[in-house]
Amino acid sequence: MGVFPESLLKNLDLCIKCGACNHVCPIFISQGKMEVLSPRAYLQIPKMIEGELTMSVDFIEYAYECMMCGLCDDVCPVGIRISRLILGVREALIDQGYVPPPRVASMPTKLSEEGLAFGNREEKAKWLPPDYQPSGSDTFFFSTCLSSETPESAVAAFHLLKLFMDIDTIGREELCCGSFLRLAGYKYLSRGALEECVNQLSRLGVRKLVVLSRPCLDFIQKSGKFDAIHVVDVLKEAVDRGELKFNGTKKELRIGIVGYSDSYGLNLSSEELVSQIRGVKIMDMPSWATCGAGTLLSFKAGAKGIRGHFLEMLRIAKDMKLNSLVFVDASLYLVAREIARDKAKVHVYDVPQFLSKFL
Amino acid sequence: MKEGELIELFSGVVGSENVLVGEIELASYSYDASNIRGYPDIVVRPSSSDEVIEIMKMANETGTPVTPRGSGTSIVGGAVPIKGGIVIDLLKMNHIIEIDEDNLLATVETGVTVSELNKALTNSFYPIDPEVKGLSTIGGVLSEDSACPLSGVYGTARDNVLEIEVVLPNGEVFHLGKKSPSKERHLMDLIIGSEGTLGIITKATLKLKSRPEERYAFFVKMSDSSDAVSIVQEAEKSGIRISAFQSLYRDALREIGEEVGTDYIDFIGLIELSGDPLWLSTWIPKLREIINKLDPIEVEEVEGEEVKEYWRRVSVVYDIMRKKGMAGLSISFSIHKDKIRDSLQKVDQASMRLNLPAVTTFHPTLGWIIATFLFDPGKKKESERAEKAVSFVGEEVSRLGGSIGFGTGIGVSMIKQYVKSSPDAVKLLEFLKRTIDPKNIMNPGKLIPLRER
Repeated sequence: MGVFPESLLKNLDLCIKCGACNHVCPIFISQGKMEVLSPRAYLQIPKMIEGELTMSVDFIEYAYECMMCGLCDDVCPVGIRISRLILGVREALIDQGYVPPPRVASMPTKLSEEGLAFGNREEKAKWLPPDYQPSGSDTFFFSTCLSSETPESAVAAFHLLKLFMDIDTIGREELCCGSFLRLAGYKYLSRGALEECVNQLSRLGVRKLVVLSRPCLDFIQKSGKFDAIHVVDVLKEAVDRGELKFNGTKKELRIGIVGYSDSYGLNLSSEELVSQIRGVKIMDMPSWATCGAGTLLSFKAGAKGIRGHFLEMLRIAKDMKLNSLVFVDASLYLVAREIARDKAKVHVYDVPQFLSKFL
Repeated sequence: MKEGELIELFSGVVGSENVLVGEIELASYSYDASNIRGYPDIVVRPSSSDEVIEIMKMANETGTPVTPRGSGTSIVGGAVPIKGGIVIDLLKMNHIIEIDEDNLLATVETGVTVSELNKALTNSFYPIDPEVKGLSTIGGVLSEDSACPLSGVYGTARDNVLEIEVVLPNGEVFHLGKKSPSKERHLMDLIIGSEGTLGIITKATLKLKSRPEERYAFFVKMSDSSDAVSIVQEAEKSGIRISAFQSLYRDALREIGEEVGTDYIDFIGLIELSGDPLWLSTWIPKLREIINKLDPIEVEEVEGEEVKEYWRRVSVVYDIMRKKGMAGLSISFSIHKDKIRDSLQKVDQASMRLNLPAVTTFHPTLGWIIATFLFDPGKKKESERAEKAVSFVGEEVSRLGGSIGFGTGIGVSMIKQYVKSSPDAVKLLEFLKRTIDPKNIMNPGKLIPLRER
């Protein structure tokens, strides 16, 4: 009995195991180059599950190790889209009825009961003040499922946006776009979620959408419905137009910025925004200190590699005597906050939160 | 010894986080870039020579097989633990200890990759880059005595090393060589290229090369592969130093849709000259004359950065695999220059008999040929035919006097052909192996056949 579809296996078989992918994988590098946490292994192990290894809870967890940064895809000499295949593995597991790790497995129920991938409506109600009055604008802030787990991100972002633009938001009743379900391998559920989310936004007459988090932005852009843009890019535009200004700091602050390996624009906008603050010195992080669109999903799945990767970034930040690490996206900040909780030696922020300190 | 005891023993040496025994962890060390497979019982990840010594002592006491592993890029199964036991993953030993570019020397730990070393250098480079991506570790390069396109001028790995530190199976450590050419070179040569069957190279002082000031290349299309040999012979007579000469045989050209007509192209080649501009200015016209005398179908001349672009044109194996959606199985060997043409025909024969496309690259200066047979990875029959093709070429080339495994090692894949082609070498190796590794624990099953224990 095959677990994986023929087409997927055939694509996995194209891998010549040269290892080029391993040497660009941020997690492979940060985790001491253990083969098990490498793209080459992510492609090989599923084939073994089909033959010599037995399906196990360990394997299902393992299928969620990759954070989908896509660096391996760029170097594969035979052109395998590695991250797509890894997503294919997850989709096949779900199709076959295997249960993913708990915090991922809860997503479909959460979606059908509350219209969210994670978090809950009660928490989601809290980031927006109860007396909030809709402004009637056709530009909306999309706070994403993150707003119930990291309300501080949503609050900071919305506050900054309000300073220079007429912008509305849904708040408590906002529906999940399905991006995290997609990354988890729930192909059909995620499509359904996106449709409902788009319908809700369309009903409200939304034209422009400012999105708090990148995985959701990517997925909403697939619908092609709205002019969707990342909150960091909107802030950057406002600074360029001179509509948003920040104060400086007397004491020099050494900070590091952690971004995405495949989103140069977002990284650059973040850097330019932060460099507006006088007295902030941006230090170069090592090239492996980068993330992927699937970072938060993998963290929720309990990926050992993600945990280790963030611990290593925090350790390096401490070695570099940084005051803070600023993450270009709220989903990355959320992971950092969770991991830094016990061992915080360095402050962690996302871009809007960090900027808010200098208003 | 029971698994639990082994774990405890090794954890005491390297820390429990560097001892891996999980099913998936072990599975990830069951392959390299070849088709050979084998599961280890335990993976140990040392950070220093001292830890390697301790691990080897324990392995020797308990008679447990040990397979050293770097980046796992061997295409002959060099890093696969076919007898189980311990895989020593050396990637944590990745410190560059000293770089002395004035004297063109670098001392590194075994797990440093070629690209890591080259990135750390400013006006020199380490020339042995087997897969031209810098993925291999120095330990791997030395153990397999790797070759690369530049080997025609710089030699193979063994020609670019001055000192090695090696841990023998009983845990004794030896330092061989000096920073100057030493009397001990023959002893180093015993270890280098022995594919980890005599010991684990843990550290090395390497010779670096100055980056060439200028690059110039002839890109030729010619109608007879023996012309490639003529170019090399004439160039040698005229004192021209060809720094690299990579050719693509017609089987590869067919795959990339190169025109086959009345001007039948047998191979395309990139002949690179590099170095001092003064030398180049005398070499270039001479080489031009040599090439033109042979009546080439087409010649282009390129210089500087453009040369890189032309390298891409003669490095198409992966591109072809990508385009066709096919996998490949390779055989690497060297042969007397006069027999290059015959060897290429053997590849043709294998390709025809087994009905599989082949992509062949050859380096006329070295007499080095790498043939890759392409097959549909979804069809088991085809991958078996690819193995037959490789084995056919191996046998035929041995008969022609070729050296199987040149540049890549023998590993597991090429043992049968190696035993046939070099019986005396195998006999002497077995004698040495019995002396240095009486319990036969060092990378058993590689380079020479497994003996009954």
